Formats: sequence, C-alpha cells, structure tokens
Amino acid sequence: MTRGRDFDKGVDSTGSGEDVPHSVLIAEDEPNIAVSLGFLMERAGFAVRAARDGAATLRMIEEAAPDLLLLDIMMPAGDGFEVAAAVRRRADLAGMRIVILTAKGSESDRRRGLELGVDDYITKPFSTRDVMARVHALLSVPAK
Amino acid sequence: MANSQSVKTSLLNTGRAPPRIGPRLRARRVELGIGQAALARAVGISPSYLHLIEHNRRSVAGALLLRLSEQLRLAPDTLSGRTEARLAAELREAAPAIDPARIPDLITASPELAAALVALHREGSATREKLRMLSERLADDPFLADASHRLLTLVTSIRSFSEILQDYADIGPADRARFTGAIGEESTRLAEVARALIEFLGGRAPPAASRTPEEEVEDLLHDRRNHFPGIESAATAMRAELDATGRPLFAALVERLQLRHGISVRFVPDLAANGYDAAGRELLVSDALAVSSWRFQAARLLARLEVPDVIEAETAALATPEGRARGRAFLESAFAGAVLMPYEAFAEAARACRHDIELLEHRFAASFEQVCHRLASLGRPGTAVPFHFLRTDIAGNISKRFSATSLHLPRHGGACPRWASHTAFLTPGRIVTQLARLPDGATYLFVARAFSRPGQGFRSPRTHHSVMIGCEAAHARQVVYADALDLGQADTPEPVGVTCRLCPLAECGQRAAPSLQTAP
Repeated sequence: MTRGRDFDKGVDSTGSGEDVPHSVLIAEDEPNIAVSLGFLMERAGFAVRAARDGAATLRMIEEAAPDLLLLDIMMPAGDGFEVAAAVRRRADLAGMRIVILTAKGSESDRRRGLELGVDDYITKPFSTRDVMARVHALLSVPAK
Repeated sequence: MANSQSVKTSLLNTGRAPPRIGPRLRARRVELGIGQAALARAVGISPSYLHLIEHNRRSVAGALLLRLSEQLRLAPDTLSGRTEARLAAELREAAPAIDPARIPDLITASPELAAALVALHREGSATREKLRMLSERLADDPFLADASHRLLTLVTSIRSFSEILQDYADIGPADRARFTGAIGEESTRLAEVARALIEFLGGRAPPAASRTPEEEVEDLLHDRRNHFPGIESAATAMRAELDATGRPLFAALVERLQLRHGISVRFVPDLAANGYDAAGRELLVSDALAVSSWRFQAARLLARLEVPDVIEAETAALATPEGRARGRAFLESAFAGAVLMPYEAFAEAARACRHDIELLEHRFAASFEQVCHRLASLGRPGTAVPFHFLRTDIAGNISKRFSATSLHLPRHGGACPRWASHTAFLTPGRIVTQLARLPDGATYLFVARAFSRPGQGFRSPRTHHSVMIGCEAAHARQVVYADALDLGQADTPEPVGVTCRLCPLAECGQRAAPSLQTAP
C-alpha cells in the first residue's frame, strides 16, 4: 500500500474548512485509475488511502472507517457488491458514504448497487469533474 | 346478418377449419359459365343436392370436393376456403391493428397483397429472433465481455489524466511527467484492445476465448496429436518406481497412495460411490468394476497428487478456467493410461503383435477402450503408427474423438453411416474391419468394436458404445486387421464420407441430409 502512504503525505485540511479533513478510501484494482482518483481527492483536501482488492478494502475499513468509499465492482478477492453489502450490514458504519465506480453499466447492476444502499453509482468512462461534483455533494463540502 | 355470421365463424373455428364453401363454389361456376345441372351431372350428384351445397346447407369433403375442384379448375384447398382461412389467420397475426371482421374482404380484394404482408411479417419475426440470438451470443461471449471491460477502464484512465492535466495548472513536474507517461502507456494498451476487438468483430482471427471449453481441449489434442511427452516421461518414471517394489501393479499403486499420501483404498459394492473422497482421504473403488478400472483410478489419483505441475504446464495455454479444468481431467486420465501401459513397453508390444488390440488387452490387463485410447496417443512421428480414435453411442452421438491422422472426424454426431464404428453395432463384441475411401481419395483402415455394459440390475438400462481406431492405408500392413483385406485390389476400399453434408457421393442409399457440396 505504498500508494496509500503517498496520498497521505499530501493531505491538506484547509480546503474543507473543517478541523479534521474528510477521509476517503479508494478501492480500485486498476493502478492508473487509483492514481488519478488519489490525486483528485488529495487536491480536494481529503485524507486518502487506497486498496486494490475486496479483502484489503474491508481490512482498511476495519482499521479506520472512512467518510467516503469509492468502490470499484470488478476487483479480485471480493467484488464491490460484496464489500458494499458487508458495510451496509454494519450499523456502526451507517454514516459511511459509498460511491460505486464501475464499468458494469447495465440497469440490473445499477439497481443491485442501489438496492444494497450505496449512495451513488457512476459508470466508466466517467469524467473526473462529475466524480468530484458528486463526492463534494455527498460530503456536503462546497465545490471549489 | 353477414356480420353475425362472420362472428359465429370466428368463434367456431379459429381460422383453421374450412369456412363456407357454397358462395365460392357458386361464384366460380357462374364465372366459368357452367349450369347447375351440368356441374351436378359431371360430379355425379343431383342438381338439388348441388343447390343445397351452394347455399351452405350441405358440407363438402373428400372425393366430392376433389371432383368439384377438378371441374371448376381450382385447387381443393382454394375451393374449400382452407387457403383463405389460413391466410386470414396469418394476416390477423401479422396485422393486429386491422379489424378482424374486415380481413375476409381485404383478402378477397387483394389476395396477393395479403400474402405479401404475411410474408413480410414472417421475415420480420425471423430477423428479430436472429437478432435476439446474436445479441445474446455477444453478451455471453467471454472475449467481448473482457475486452469491453478493459476498453472502458483504459478510456477512463486516459480521460482522468487528461482532465487533471487540463484542470490543475499547478501540477509539479514529477506528477506531470508521471501522468503524461501513464496516458502514453494506456493509449498503447487501448490501441491493442481496439485492434483485437476489430479483428474479433471482423471474424478474421477469432480469439481463443470464444471457443467452448470442449473445443479448446479438442484443439489442444489436435495440435499435439494427442501426444504429451512431459506426461509420458513422468508416467514412465512412476511406473519404474512401482515395478521396483516387486509387487503386482495394483498393490504397488495402493501402497504408494498409502505411504506417500496417507490415502487408503476401500472397496465398496456400490458403483455410484466410486471415486476419491478427499475429506476422508479414501479412494473408493467399486467391486463391480474390472481390475483394469481399479488400477486406472488409483493411477489417475496419483497423477493429481504427484504431477500437477507437469499437467499444469501442458494445459497452461488453454484460455479459459473451464478449458483448463477439462484439459487437466483429460491429462490425468492420459497419465493413468501411460502408467498402466508405459510408452516404450507398449509401443514395442504393439509393433511386435502388429497392433492386435485383444492381445494387448491381455498383455497389459487393460480394456479394449483403454488399449485403443493408448494406441491413439503414441503419435510420436516416425516411431509409431498414428491412429485416430472415435467413441460413439448407438444413436451416433460422438462422446470422444481425436485424430493423429489426417482424417477429419466430425465434431458432434452425424458421422457417415457407412463407417465401421456404426456397422459394428450389428455384431456387438466382434471386431469389424473396413478399408474406407473418402471422397478426396484418402484411404483408411478402420477397426471397430461395439460393446454393451450392464447397468445396475434388471431395471437399469445397459449402455451401448462403439470404439473405433483407424490409420492411413499406407500403414495397413503394420496392422494385423488388414490381413483379411485384399489391399492390392482397387475395388477393396469402400466409398464413405465424413458427414452427409460434406459428402458429394450422389448414389448413396444412406444419405440422411442433402450435400452442401453438390449445388442444387
């Protein structure tokens, strides 16, 4: 998880206007997408960590629950649907926002995600501007 | 009145039974200028009876309908209205927006137009069905699913980096270099995926993943001529160790399972319980089976336990997990066959007895099918006679096939009914030989035997199979079964095909499907 540490270095709480920056966990097995999302979240002033598979995602949530989870569906060792279901089963994690980012764009997949109680469902190829707008809206932080 | 009658008709018959014949008959008679009495006389009925028919008070069918239609020069179905009734039913289906009560009038006004509309509708339904099948196929295709996922992922990452470079003017040089580098790499990958997709859609190079797992394994066997040197040497080595114990083969196999793997062999009466119980570390062997099957099962389990790496190496090239699983299962059996019939000893014995299958059965305590299978796996070019192998059931379905010869074996059922593999069922248990000449002139020696296996008791059905091996006629002198055939006679070879579809032989009493090779 060296990338996760890289992101942590850039954390800057000034952008959020709060004492403690919002924390974001990026669950994505495509390294380049994780890098670009990490950059964007850091720039927005969030504390960022990254995981590359389902099991690592759940482990990192256990260590410290993030405010927002950016979740890919097609990951090894437990796909995004399983991770979302596991999180939504836990009452103590009810405040965690979940945004699914996926190449699976079929209506049934979308419905499945929303039925699991995720907050937003964004299909690839997404625009980073759209992702940022939705993330800001969910965390109630005014967009820059 | 007319309206109520048409409602009644449509209630009584749903468009298939003949509607009123009377008015049609009368109209046609008048059209042809034939008097009622003249027509009645010509068809052998009284004028009053014809009068009743023309007023729908008597029905007409059978011989009388035929005689009337002959006199009126109309097809019986046209005269009786069956043709029209069917057209009406089809038109109702094709154009549900048309008021059903108006359909008979529309057909009368323009039967050609009605028929054309029905034909158009049929064509449209067929096209929709085809489209549905094609889109299902595309949705299920593993290659397309994978390619579209990669495509979307690559586009997303390129788009993300481009937007970042545009939106954040203050990016440091290190990040800038990293992001532009990533765009370059991802673009190269994108181009590769796009090229593979275009090739796939253009049908020029169907990628491996779009074959079925069975086809993948069949292609592997074909490419390797069913001969796997890695498996052969591993099996030869294990057999040497087993022989060195000085014990009978099955006892040595059991001992090896016990000592090296802590697996014990237990005999069970039930045929269905046969198999390896991994949880209990027991190999269950059925009493009902022959010793050759006991040995085979033990050797097959040892393949799984001791040489998974060798098997893995041979199957690594298969594209799908299912294909690899099937390939592993096949090679585990091949390994078992090679332990029971080690290459050098078997090849030497086969040469010495000129491929006498029954002698080899005794020599290696193996079944007919096992020996045939083994003969077809020796295909080391130049050292052994290359054989093909085919197993079919009594309905001609093919359950196992591979070819080390140039003979094209059909992929599924439908092999030529003249092949010895089929005629062997006429004399089950006896070996049938045939010198077969294919339409392209290639001649093969076929050797087949059909056999039945009992089920479990009187109420359970027997199974019937035929196993056939064959080699090119050039090698026939090395095979004992050719001795009864006059190889020198030009007439000896029997003309056969591969499948009816691919066979141009015009005069064949067994033809079951038209040939695709003789243009109509």
